[in-house]
Amino acid sequence: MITLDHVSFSYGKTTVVRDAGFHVPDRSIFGFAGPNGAGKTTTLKLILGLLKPDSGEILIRNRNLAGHRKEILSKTGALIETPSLYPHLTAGENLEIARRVYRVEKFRPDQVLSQTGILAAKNKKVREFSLGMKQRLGIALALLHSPELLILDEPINGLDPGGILEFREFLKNLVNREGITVLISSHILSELELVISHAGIISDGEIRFHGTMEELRGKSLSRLFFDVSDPEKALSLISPVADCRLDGGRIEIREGNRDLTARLIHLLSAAGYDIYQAVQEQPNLESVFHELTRKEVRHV
Amino acid sequence: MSDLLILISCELIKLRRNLALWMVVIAPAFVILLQTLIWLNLKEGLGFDADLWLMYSSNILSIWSLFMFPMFTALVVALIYQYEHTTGGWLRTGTYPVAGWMVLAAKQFSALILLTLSSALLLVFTIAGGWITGYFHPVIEMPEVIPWGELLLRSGKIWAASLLVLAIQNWVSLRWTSLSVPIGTGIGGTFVALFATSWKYGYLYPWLLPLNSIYGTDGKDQTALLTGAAGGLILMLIMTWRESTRRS
Repeated sequence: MITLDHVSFSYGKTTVVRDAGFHVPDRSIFGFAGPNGAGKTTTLKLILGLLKPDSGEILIRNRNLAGHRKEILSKTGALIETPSLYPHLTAGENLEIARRVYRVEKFRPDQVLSQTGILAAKNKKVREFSLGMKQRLGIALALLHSPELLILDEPINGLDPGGILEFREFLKNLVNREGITVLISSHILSELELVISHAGIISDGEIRFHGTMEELRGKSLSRLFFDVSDPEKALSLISPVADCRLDGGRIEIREGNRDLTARLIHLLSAAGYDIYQAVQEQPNLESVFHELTRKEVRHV
Repeated sequence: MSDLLILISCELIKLRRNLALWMVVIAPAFVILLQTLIWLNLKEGLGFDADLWLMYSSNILSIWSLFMFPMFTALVVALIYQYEHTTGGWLRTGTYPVAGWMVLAAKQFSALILLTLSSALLLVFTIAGGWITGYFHPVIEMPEVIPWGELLLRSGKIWAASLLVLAIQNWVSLRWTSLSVPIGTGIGGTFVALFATSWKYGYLYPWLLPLNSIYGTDGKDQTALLTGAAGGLILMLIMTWRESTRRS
């Protein structure tokens, strides 16, 4: 659906997106994650043609936006940054503007308001909306013209926990029922983890990872935690055989596995240390995310 | 073209419940009210031989073209662009499946529609104000025959000569997100106009063009009209082209 190939973009002398490349497959929910200021919104703006890349190519449905702007944008729904709403108008009037622009049937505004759960607020002025309601209206606007591609920039911002759950279900249904491709960004990967099929991780303007969620989870490193007597001395004992450090009075061993666990237990017992607990932590996507977005890591 | 008409209709929806729309009525009504009160307070009549309708409208058009119109334009145009500046609306309009220039052109057309409506209301209110004056003043009697042709011609000239100021305000309002810049431009432009009248080429000063288009002498009225109308149209075209290419 979307392909970015060696895309770079700078604001003045500051490079915001550097040689970025990834592919968003059809009918996927592609989570685009990265810390604040990593270049997520800029990348989404580049995809939508709101900014022009300095170099590289962006294809949507194998077509360049410059040559097929009307065709591509008429099938793309977007919510970038905060929802762009006219506060002095009602929700219905905001949708009416988009309805005219996209030449959509008159029943669609009510339909999308119902889908997003704010039909009752149709005649309410947007300035009276809560942040969560504005987000819902922003999503309703993005969906109004039944797009094939939906680009959502931090749509979970402002939603309460119940709203986040509803939103996840809503996204799943969209993809399953209507076959939409969704590109969704967030600075918190765990918020997307349950719904996305693919992920891209950006940090300092560089794409650190892109692929399926299975591939991303494959990058997860299981960790071992040893709760032992005299952890500082124990650390010096096992450091020649394992990548380890002290973490809150416990010894943390990265890339732990069953063989290593057995070996370390044997080593510590033989040296006379009491082992109170040995815990193997399951792969954690959030830790992978932090690992990938750490500034010193330059390449995946 | 139909995309442009749709975008203009969208701009008109955005005007709902907006001060800009109220100003279309308030600005001409204020000028007429002022002129009517002045005439109602005249102790003596103006004589039956004078062309009272033209006299009455002359004062109105002077106040309108020199003071009220530039202020009205500055405020209304600034408000039209503020929708997008303050709500991040450019991000939304930027993803519309239409040519980028149309979004800007639609804004200019909606400003032009408001200016036209306001000019038309000024004419309607002039007649109403004249009748009220004639009815309530003990001496002044407005002639029954209204010189529609002359009144329309004068209003039309002011409208056309105003296009350059409209274009300037459009550009300023687009480029500066703060409301104070276009408003300041309008106030500053009007203020300088008071001094520009004594300058040799002052009649070509954009904020004086509407006034000079009806009161200029020695052909200066025609020059002012042409400069305002043609200059305005050219500047609007340049702005639309320049800004849409800059934004794409």
